[in-house]
Amino acid sequence: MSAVERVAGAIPGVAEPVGSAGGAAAPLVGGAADDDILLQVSGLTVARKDAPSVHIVDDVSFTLRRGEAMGLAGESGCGKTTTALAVLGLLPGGLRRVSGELVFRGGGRARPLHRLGGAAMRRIRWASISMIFQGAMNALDPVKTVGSQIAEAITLHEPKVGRAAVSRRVGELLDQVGVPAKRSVYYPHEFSGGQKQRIMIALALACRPELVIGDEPTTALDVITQAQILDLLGELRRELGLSLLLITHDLAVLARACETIAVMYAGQIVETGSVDAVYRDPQHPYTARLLDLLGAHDAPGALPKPIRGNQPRPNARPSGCRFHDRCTFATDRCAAEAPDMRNVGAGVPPHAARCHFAPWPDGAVDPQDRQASPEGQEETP
Amino acid sequence: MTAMDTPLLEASDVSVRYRIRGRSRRGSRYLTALDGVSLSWRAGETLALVGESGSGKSTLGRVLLGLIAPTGGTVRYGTQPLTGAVRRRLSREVQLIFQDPYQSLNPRSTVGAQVLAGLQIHRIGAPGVERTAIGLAALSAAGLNPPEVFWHRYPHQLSGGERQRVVIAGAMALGPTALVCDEPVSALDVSVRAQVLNVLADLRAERGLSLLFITHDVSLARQMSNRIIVLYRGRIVEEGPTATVLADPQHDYTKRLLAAVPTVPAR
Repeated sequence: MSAVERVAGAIPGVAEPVGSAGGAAAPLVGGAADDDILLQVSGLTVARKDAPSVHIVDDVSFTLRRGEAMGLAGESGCGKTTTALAVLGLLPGGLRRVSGELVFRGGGRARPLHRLGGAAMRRIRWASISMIFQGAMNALDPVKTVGSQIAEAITLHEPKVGRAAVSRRVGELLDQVGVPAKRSVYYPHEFSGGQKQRIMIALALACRPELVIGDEPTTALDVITQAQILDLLGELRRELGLSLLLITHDLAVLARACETIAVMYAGQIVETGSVDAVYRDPQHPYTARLLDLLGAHDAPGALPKPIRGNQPRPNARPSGCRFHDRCTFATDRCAAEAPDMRNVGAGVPPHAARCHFAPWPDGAVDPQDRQASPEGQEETP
Repeated sequence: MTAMDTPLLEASDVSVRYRIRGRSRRGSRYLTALDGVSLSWRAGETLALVGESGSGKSTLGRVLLGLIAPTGGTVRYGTQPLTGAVRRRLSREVQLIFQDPYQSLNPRSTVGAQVLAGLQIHRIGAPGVERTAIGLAALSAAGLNPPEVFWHRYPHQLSGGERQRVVIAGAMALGPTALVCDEPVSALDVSVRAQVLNVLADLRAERGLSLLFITHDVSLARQMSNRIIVLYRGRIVEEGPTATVLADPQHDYTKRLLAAVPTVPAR
């Protein structure tokens, strides 16, 4: 099934109206679309407590549909992990959500995550929204068997389930991720990195969540294991109808696992749309350069020139467009005036970019400094 | 005989076995990390050793540098076996760059002190002004400008890419003829990765540096190497010019490895 078909499956009207309670009573317009949305993030802003004007995440909005896999892409420090932690209500102590709404429509009702207290949030976490952490191999407790760790997650959230039923479910979960159920009595150190990552996925699925957030779930693995884990995530998603929010810096991994993408830079979403549209025709110079740097379709030996400079720190962002001082196309307007998101194409979600010049004429945003010889590197300040 | 034909480092029939925990009926158990590997890294060549975790690629890199003694076979530097004086010369002329610049730098000393330490160990330049000048020039060549600013910084004050460039500068200060880079950019972001690779490519162009990349990242091999060697379970399963191997892999494992690499849709 191609990515396009999978996206089509998530478009309201095309998707089957599963479980729309009281069928005929459901509103004809808007209702279907609402049912289809699992997570709606609007205007999320996260700031440092000791410096409230420093926005780590700045006015981030996106919509995740049921069954959709969305990639949140960007380089270290762009705010992608902070965005995910805000959804889970797990912001580190020094950070605070200063504005924005997070509406989660799991379990048949809409819940405003931003208004929930600690106890209510704990019930949702793992039961409805779970997370596969970065470097999961270190997230498992080394002194407990993997089976008991999965069982613990189940009994915490469903205390009424009996011991026999729990251990049966642990077996099924391990089976599902391709680890022999009899190995549930083994300790984490007795597994390879790829197997530990599979166990982390089983742990994330333990309470049958509707949304799984993966924070660089394959970054520490080598290519072959990475491909296996990505395939596994895809299969589980189709089987269980899960939604996936994949946080990654790796645009190639994202293309393999997701249907839609949001690219973040310096705390903001700078481009969003279907993976097909964004990768084929990027409309923000930053996205275009990131794709160029992958060099996936260059002749061997070709080395793309780097983007000059570094991503600005949250307390030292430039005026106007935050990318302007690194952008080869920047004009005076870019330095003076901050661009809004501009729609550049139809689709679900619509293709949009935060650039004054979007939509670009065909191919105009493609890097012109691409060259086949490694000479002539730009000095970085 | 051109420069390209001169072997820089050569391994013949090298094997490495590690003793591992536990016993079999016949005594100790061993893990064969390398099994009869022969290769020649020619001067001026950029070679990529590619394979998944556990394929033996890092072990091979360390054997070539004389950091691990092979259980079988021999390694030659130029034409000489790796003994005493040859190993000392090798340890200056062929430098090693590790994956994680966070771990290869001492958090408690400044960039300048760490660059100087290498020069002291190898007794390069006169102590004082001359050594400092060599160190500053190396920082500048690695793209850390102005070098005086970076000289007094501590590792935690630098970004990941800057740290890796400090590591490269520390290596380059010793005037090596070759660098062995073990996953040099896999801990770095995409745009930073390109900066570091461009620094390496510039150094190669300016100084005729020979490079050996040890990596599981096929796209790195594609961007940087002339020749590729694919390792699988301690054996070489395929080798050849990078363009040929990537376009027309012969061994099943190479095919699987290339198929596993996620790609972006062509534009």
